[in-house]
Amino acid sequence: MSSKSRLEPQPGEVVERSAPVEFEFDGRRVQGFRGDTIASALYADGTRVFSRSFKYHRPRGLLCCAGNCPNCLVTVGDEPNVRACARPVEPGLQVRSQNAWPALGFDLLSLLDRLHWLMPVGFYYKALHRPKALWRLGRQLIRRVGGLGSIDINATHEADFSSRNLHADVAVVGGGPAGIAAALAAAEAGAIVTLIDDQPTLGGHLRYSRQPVNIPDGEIRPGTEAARELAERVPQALTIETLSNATVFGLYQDNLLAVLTTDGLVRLRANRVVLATGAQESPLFFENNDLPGIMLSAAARRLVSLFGVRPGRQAVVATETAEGYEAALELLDAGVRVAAVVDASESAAGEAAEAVRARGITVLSGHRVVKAVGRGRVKAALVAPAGNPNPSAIRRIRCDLLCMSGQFQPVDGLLHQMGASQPGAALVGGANGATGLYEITRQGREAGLMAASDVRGQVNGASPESRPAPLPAVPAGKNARTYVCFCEDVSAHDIEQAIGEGFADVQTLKRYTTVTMGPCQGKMCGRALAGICASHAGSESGSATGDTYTTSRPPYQPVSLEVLAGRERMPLKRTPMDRIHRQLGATMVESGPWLRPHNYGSPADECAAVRERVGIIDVGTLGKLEVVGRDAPQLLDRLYTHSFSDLPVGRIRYGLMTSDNGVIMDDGTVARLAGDRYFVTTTSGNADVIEEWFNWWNAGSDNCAHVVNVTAAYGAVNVAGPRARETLSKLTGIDLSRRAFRYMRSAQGEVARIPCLLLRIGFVGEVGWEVHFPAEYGEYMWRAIIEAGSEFGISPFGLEAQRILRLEKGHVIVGQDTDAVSTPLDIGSDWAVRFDKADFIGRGGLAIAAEHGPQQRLVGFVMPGLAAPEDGTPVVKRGRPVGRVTSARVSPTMNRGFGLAWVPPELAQEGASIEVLIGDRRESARVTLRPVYDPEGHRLRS
Amino acid sequence: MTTAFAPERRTAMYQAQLAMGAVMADADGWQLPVHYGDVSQEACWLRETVGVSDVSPLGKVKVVGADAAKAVAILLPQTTERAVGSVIEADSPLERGGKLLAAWLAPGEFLLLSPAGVAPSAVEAMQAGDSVCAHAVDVTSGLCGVSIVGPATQGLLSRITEVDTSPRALPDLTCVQSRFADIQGLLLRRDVNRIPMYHLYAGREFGEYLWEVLIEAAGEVGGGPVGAEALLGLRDWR
Repeated sequence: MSSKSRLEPQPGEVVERSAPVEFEFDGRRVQGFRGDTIASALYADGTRVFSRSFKYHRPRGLLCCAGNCPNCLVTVGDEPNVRACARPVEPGLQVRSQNAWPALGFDLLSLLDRLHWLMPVGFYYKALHRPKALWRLGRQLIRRVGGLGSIDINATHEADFSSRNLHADVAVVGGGPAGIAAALAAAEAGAIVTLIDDQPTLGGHLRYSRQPVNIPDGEIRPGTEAARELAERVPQALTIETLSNATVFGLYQDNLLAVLTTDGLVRLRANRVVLATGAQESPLFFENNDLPGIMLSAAARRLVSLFGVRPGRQAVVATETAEGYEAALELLDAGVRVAAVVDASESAAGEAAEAVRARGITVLSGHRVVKAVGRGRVKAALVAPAGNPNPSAIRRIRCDLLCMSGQFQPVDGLLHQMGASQPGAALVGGANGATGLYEITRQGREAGLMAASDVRGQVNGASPESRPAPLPAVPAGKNARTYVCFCEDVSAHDIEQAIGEGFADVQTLKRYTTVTMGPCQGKMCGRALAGICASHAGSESGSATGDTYTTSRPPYQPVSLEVLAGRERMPLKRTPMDRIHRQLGATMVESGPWLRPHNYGSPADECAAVRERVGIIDVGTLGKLEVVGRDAPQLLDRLYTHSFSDLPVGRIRYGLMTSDNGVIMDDGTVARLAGDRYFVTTTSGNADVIEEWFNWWNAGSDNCAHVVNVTAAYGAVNVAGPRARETLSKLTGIDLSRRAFRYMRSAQGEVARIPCLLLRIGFVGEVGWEVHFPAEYGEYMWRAIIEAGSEFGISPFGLEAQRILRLEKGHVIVGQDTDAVSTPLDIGSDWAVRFDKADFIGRGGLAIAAEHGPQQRLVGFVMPGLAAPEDGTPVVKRGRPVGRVTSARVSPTMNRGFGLAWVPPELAQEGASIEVLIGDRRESARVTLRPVYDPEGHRLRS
Repeated sequence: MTTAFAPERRTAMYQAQLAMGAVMADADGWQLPVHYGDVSQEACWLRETVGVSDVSPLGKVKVVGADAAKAVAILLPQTTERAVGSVIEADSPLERGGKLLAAWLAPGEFLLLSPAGVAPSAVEAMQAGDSVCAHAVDVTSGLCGVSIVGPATQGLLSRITEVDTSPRALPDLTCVQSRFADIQGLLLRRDVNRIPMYHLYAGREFGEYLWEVLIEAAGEVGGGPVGAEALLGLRDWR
């Protein structure tokens, strides 16, 4: 044999002996087999100490072998806190122990265990509060010497976690006999079923049980064979999808299950859920019950049956259940000498108990283990008659393996996440207290049929015969080393002490002692805690709040944040010319939902090109709506402050849209293309909102008017500058002369052989046209215009140049220069509000605003020099802020700083002096009510 | 009024497809991938896993209004008040023939899908007169479209949407509007020769993003991009 504790091949084992796998543990090479977990391979290799405990650095060995307890936490690669018993081995894995210094086998910090009497529960609250600095120091020290694995913040991960969405009529959680029976029954009834199991193969506890069982419609055979036979029935049902190696870590409202699989996260939505999550043994509570070599009997059986590993040479089995006897028999079959079975009951019956006796094993009925002896690992068990404290009655039994089989407790954490008050109400099989394969599968079958017959309900209320499991008994006493919480090193004595201090409620007790707050999240200790509370309170719940248990919340099992975060997706909108901008070397920025060119190298040069020659900018991001229908004019009149029913076809008008109270929502241009057809532009990124606004006000009316969002359907460029006319004239037969195509006019025709809509408007203050064209021609159109304008020195310009140029014209950007209280009157756009038309949205608010006059005005300002304040800088008067700068830049035309700012009405006077902050310095500026560039608009209209 | 180069219609995914090695050809003025280098591989994906192809050039007409069904019925006479989400298919009465699909998106709102280049004539044909309140707007340029074809389409779609796209929930000739890969879209099912085929339409501005997400998801289920040549064996309408 290649490993020290490896047995001959076992029936039903999952390891492949022909496929050795090598990995490293703390620098030591270890060989396992494919199918092994890290824990089983290490155990087979002779490792008994897997970790050091959280607080006292006590040595810890395998306890559950089921991924529940904290005893085998290791670091794999750069991933800390991996449960070694649940992680399959892979070639080359680098596995390290954690929370030990300098080494796992020789941990100097285990001195803390000797000093445990100095550190009772909550000692830091009591001892480290005076002087104040002591708490800071103490906290740092505690965090350094205690804890779990360390996160490598420099680690990078190649892993890419995808997620999937699945749907099913019935979701069955748990692939044991109850789950299989439920899934098969539901599928036979016509339901689409998803069966989720956290193990690589179906079968549940039968996979590691060699005891004879009688499967439904089958013969008596060993559990391992029964598991295989049951599992083989599942693929025959075509409507069952099985997710193996998959853990349900959350059960949410409307039956949404969060499932962690080897392929990433699965969000499963099911009409009905059947929880067949089984039951698990409780640990037993005696002094030193955490020594390596002490494990649950199911853990020992898993090692033997699934991995072919002998868990020890001489065992004592301490049991409160029949399963303890079954474990004893299987240990015997695996060549382990069973020194004794210590049974808490007075007279154990059953086939397994009889078989144990028949094989000559000592059975100590009515006895309990009172102490485990050993340092670093168990050497012997001290056994005494239950209820007899006389030291002379204590018997010492040598062993290197102590198996515990406490009362089975339902695995019902998922149910509690759903807020169930009674355990068992939504569970089937072992999780519902059922014992015996017949009863387990009967419950599963009934639940499956019920779920399939009514797929519209909530979590299945399975069996009316559900019965809560009894709470474990934890002996009272002064000994500090009877551990209840293996995660946080909390002993029964600690809990009793906390109760004595007044923390008697299970919820406050949890917070004070941290019991149930460690990596197992109460799976190993939750019921023991409840049992202690109940015994102290003398009631069933043991809690002032009535809570028997602490609250169960997702995730039920640990999930890495990268799984929850999923794959990074950033849907950004791109214009049809996006690739061209990149090829030109543009610096792209996110502008709302769009990616836009900020500049192509020099915003100042780009400004100069527009002012002196011709520039082209991609304005495809403008929102574009087609408003059509015979009642379209009335709809626009209702939604905009201006009037559009009197707008002649072929003309354009600026439009401001306000909310009910008159606050500016959006602005843009409205071009009338036909009597019943308008082309409306909105600010970039606002098209969807405005479309909804239109539909909101149009809904329910008898109007025949409709809005279609065509933002993405049209690419658009603005060609502006003194040579714009010449540039575009090379591409179109439309007469672009000043007389034929005047300012604020539109025309439809071909540009570069493509049907286009031309709007003569001037956001940047020069003669220019917005050219709107089918988006698929975007790259072609850009190249065509650049080619036509090359002889005139055409230059692309970006967002920054556009902002400077529009600022020189005093044009407002809604959202940048306006805020949540700005009205058209405040920004000096009274001319765009038509009080003389029929009612419109915002009229009432604007009428009040007009009556009271503005409280602030948006004005231009000019700095004496090149300095310009930052956007958002306060406007100051006599040292007090009285307004704020909304936009400011250095004007390449004036060679001065300038901008727009909100100021009190008394300062909104031509030539008034204001002060703005530039850094920490106050600088004076002059108010101007006119655009700083081409105030008469001659260039715009030329 | 001339340029040194001819007008080319490019879908939003054109550049991304070029980067993947697509060999382009002109189809009704559109540049579309003929193949990506291995036609047999693409055909294999279509039959065994999933193939993703760009169908943005298909004509798309939004028909809105209280009488939208009447307007649609001009081209598809069997259009009646069915359930929202239903899709009607019929031979096109328009000159260029082919099939027309009308997806009922909401009360008073249809999306008409036509062969490429047919949308303008469809819009014209649906002008029902002043007495009818319905309007047709050609949105071909505003929506990108992708067809997802093959037996593994479910696996791909499960990676990009929470919508139940199983045959029971979304049978042939039905559609649903929801979020796909975190953007709003329309998914329409129209099987071809019993092979599942879905059309996914979203705003053109998301085209490149959508293409990248779909190709990534297709790769996860063993599929990939397919060109027109591989699709020819499957498609019976264009």
